[in-house]
Amino acid sequence: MKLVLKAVLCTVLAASALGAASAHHAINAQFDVTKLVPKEGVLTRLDNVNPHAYWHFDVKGPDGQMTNWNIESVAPNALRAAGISMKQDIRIGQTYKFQIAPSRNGTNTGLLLVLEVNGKAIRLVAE
Amino acid sequence: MKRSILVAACTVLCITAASGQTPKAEDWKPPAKRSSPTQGLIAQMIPNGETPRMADGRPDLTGFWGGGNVNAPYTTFGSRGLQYFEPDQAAMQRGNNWSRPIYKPELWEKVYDTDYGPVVGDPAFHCAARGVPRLGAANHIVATPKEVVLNYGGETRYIPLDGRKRDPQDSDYEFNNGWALGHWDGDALVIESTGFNDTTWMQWTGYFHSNKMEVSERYWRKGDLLYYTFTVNDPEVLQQPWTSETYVKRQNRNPAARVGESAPCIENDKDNIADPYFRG
Repeated sequence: MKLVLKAVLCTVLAASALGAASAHHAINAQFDVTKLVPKEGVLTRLDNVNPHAYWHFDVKGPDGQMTNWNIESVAPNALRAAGISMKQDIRIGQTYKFQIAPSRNGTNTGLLLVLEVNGKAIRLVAE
Repeated sequence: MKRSILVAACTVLCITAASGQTPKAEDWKPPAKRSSPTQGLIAQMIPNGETPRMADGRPDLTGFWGGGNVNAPYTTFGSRGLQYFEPDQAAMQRGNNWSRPIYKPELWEKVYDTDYGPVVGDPAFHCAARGVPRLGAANHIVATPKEVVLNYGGETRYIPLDGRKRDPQDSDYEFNNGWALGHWDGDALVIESTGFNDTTWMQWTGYFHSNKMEVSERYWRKGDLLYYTFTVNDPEVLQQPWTSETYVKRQNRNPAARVGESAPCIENDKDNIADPYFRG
């Protein structure tokens, strides 16, 4: 699992190579990258900014209650490099399946590791 | 026996000090006495290919550069980088930093606080400029005989090479990157900078500096490698100048490669950091 963490950092580093590398922090300080949690939710907002993009999803919990999740992902350049077209593939209001590394403090946040786009699971962070 | 040690020590000194630039890879020999586990690693990197030259015969630094850091003292993500450590091992994160600035004794407590304090104490965490020398080697260089442009993705420095004299007022400015002035020392591009503020850090490890800081950088291209060395001279806070070195590799050789605009930087993580002391 350490390998995954290493990959996370490498990916972030690569993404920031020609982007603003400020405001960067250690991923492990915020997320438990030893876990991979599948989720499904409706995209309500997308902040495509450096150093990390933020995806806001409405996710239905096991109790049927809808909660808004604030999911952090790699930088805009890395999303593009992963083959995701923000204008063609991503729609606000659309339902997406994704997998996250959950937050360490139990809040509704996480690190986006896998996103399913057009029926294809795209791994944003190398295994 | 004593004489051979003396000769050996002198050889090492001559290679590193007398030439004043990174020793050539083919000239590298193990140092007589290792002062750190990574000593000589930079010089051991073997470059590939010819060094292209500009019309005036100087090495052409133009291109995209990145990656390649083996120098653990310099980079967070070095061969013994922090990714191998668990969050609470703050001391081990820093165990790879063999090259450190030597602060004046009365500042040791302060630098301990900035180094081991919470991550939000880092000015760059709030999208503020990293400044020289924390920027490291440039990611993209456009070199001409009269001017060199260094691009760091969102930050750009223009280095005049036309032989102009230093304006004495330069040191009065308070810039993140200072006023740069370039000249050639043989095949090495030397950039002297002055006129800094005291708000940026020299590295992520809380290395503050004064606004009297002066920085000398050295770019030395050999084939597909670009050796980068910086020396910080700041008698206000340091006991002696601090030098650190690394290298970067030629990246994208596609002649159609372009540099785009960076997305804006917005700090979103402050409230979500579960371990505020886990730095990186």
